[in-house]
Amino acid sequence: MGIRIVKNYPSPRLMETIGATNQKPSEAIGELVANCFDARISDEKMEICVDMRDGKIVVLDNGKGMTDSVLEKAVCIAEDMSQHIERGQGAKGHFGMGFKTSCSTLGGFYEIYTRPIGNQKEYHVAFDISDYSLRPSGADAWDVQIEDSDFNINGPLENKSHGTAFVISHLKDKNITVSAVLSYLGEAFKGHIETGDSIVVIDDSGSYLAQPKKYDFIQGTKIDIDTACGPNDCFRITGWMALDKITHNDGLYGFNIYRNNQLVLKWDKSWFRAHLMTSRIIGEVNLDFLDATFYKQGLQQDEKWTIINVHMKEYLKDIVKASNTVSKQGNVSKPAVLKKIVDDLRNDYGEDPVIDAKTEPETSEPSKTADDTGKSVQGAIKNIVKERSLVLKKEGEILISYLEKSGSDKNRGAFDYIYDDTEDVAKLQVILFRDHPLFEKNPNWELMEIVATSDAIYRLLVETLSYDAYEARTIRNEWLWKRTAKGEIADE
Amino acid sequence: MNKTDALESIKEIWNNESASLGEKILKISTEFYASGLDVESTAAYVHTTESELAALLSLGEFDDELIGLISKVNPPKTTWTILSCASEEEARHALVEYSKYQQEKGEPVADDADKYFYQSMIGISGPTIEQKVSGLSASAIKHALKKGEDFNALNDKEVKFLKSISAQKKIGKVLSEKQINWLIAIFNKIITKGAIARNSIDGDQEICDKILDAMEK
Repeated sequence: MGIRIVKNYPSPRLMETIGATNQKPSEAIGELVANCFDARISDEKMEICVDMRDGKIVVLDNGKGMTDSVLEKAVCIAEDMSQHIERGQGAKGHFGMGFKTSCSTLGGFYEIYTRPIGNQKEYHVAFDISDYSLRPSGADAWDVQIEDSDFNINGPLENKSHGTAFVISHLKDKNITVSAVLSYLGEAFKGHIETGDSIVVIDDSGSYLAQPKKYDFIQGTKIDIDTACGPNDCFRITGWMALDKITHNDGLYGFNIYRNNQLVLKWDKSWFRAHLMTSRIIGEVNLDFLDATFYKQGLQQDEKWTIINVHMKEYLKDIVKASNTVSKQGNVSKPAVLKKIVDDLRNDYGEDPVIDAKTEPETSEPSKTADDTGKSVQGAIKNIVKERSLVLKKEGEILISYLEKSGSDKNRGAFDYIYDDTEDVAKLQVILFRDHPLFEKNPNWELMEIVATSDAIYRLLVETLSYDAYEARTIRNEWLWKRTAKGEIADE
Repeated sequence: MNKTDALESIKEIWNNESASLGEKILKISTEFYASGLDVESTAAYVHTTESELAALLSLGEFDDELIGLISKVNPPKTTWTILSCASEEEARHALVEYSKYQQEKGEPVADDADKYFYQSMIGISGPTIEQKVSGLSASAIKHALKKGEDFNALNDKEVKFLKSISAQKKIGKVLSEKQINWLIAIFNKIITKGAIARNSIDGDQEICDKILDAMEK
C-alpha cells in the first residue's frame, strides 16, 4: 500500500463552462456593474458607463482600479478578494466568481484594463476562452499574462486617472436589447442611482441614463418596513410595501429583494400565498445580511432565510388581508370602501391615516372607438357563433346563437338570453358578459359557452315557455349531452 | 309619475303589438329613466329578460333620425344587443345593409341576423385587435419573443408558444382563436414590461409600431 500525491488542477475548460449560465445578457452586465460599485473610493459617487457599440461591451468605472498584485488575485477563479483589498461593509462580491462567470456568459474573449489610484501605470489582462479549452491540464494552464504600460489615452480608460474597464468581445448574443439592459440596471441598482451614482448605457442610437424603477400603487398604501427577527433581533429588514393599482396574472408582483443595494431576487412571493387576490402586493426589501448565489440571481436558502420567511409571513398578514379585500367585489372602484381599507391597513402597521387620500378608482384603458360617443361594436362584442339548435316537440326548432359581450353589471348574472319567436323560426340568443367576476381567472371559454347556453335553455323553457322545472332540466340535459358528445357538432 | 304607474305604462307599451319599435324605444326609455326604475325589476315586471330590456333602453340613446330608421327596418330582437353597442355610424350602416338585403331577397335574413349585423358593422369599423394580431408576421412574433426574453417577461411555456406560433406563421398557418387570445395576453405582458414601446431605443421602431398598432396601444 502506498500514497501518491497527485496534482489536482481544475481543467482549463472551466473558463468556458462557468459561462454556461442561464443569465440574461442584462443580468451578466449587471454583475459587472456590481463589481464597479465594489471599487468605490470612500464616499465618491460612482460613474459607470456601459458601452455597447462596435460589437463589444465595455463596462467602465471611475473606481479605485487595481494594482498588479490585486489584479493577479482578481483574475483567479473563486478568490476571496476581501483578503487582498479593503472593501468595507456592503461589498457585493463574495465568491470571486462574478465577473468571470458574466464575461464568459457574454462573450468568448474578454479583457481588463485598470489604472490604480495614485499610480502612473495601467495594467491589462486578456482571456481568450477558446484558447483555454485547448490548453492541457496542469498548473501552467492557468497562467495569466499581466501587461503594464503607461497610460494609454486611446484605450478604453481614455484619460481617466483611475478606474477599471471590462471589455468583452466575440459576443454570444450579437443583438443585445439595449432597452432591456437599461431597464434591468435601473431596477437592479435602484438604491445606488437614487443616492447619486450614475449608470449610462451607450449604443449606436445614443446614450441613456439608467433610471430607477417607478411603481404605481394605490395612494396611501405604501408602508415602510423596518422590522427585525432572529436571535436578539439581529436580522433587520427594511424597505417598503404597497398595494398595486391593478391585479396581476403576469407574475409581476411580490417583493424585489436587494442585498447591498443590488437586486438579487425579483418578484419573490415566498412570504404569502401567490394568488390573483394577493397580486396587488408589491414592495422592496433590503436583506443585506443574507448571502446571494454566486452570480447574484437569488439568495442562498439557508437557516437565516428560513427565519426571515417565518417572520415575514407573519408580518405581511395584514397587507395580504388588505390586498384580498381591495380586490374583492370591485372595492377598488369604491372610494369610500377603499379609503377604509387603506386606513385600516395603515392602522395595522402603526402608520397615521392618510389625510384627503385621493383614492383613484382603477381604470382600464379605453378601447379604441369608432366615433366621439366612445361606442363601437368592435370592442364591445367579442364573439358571435352559431350554437347547436334546440328541437322541442311543441315549438319545433329553436336556432341558437351565442355572443360574448364586454361589460358587466354587478346586479346581473354572468349570462343572459334574448328570445325571439316573432319570425318564422324562433331564435334564442345567448349572451355572456365577459367582464363578470366569474371570468376573472381566464376560464376555458369554450366550456363557458356551453355552460351559458345550457343555462339559457333552462331559463327559456321555465321562464318564457312555461315548462315545468323537471321537464326543462331533462331537455337541457339532453341538449347538453348531444352538445358535448364527440362528433355531434361535426355531424351538423 | 310614480314607479308603479311607470311600470304599468311600460308593460302596456311593451305588449302593444301595434306599436312600432321606434315608439317602444322612445316611450319605454322615457318612462324608465324618468321614474328611476331598475332593469332587474322592470324586466321581471314586463316578463322579459334583463338583456332584452337593457338593449332596448340603450337603443334610446341614438338620435331621433336613427331611431326612426330602426323603427322602419324593425330589426329582430337578436340584433338589439349588437346595435346597442354600436356607434351611430356602425348602426346606420348595418340597418341600411339589412334593409337592402330584405328588399333584394324579399325576406329577412333567416338564420343569423345578429351575425349579419355584426359583420356589416365590422366592415366599416375596421378589423378587430384579434384580426390585426393574427395578421402579424412571423418575424414580428419572433422579435417580440426575443425582446420578451431579454426583459425576462416570459415564462418557459410562453417562450415555447411564441416559438411555435412564429414557426406556424412562417408556413402560412392561420392561428386559432385560442392561440390569438394567448398571443394578445403575451403581447400585453411584454408591452407592460416596456419591451415593446413607441420610441424604442433598440433600432426596432418599425416592428414595435406594428405590434403596438395591432394591439391598439
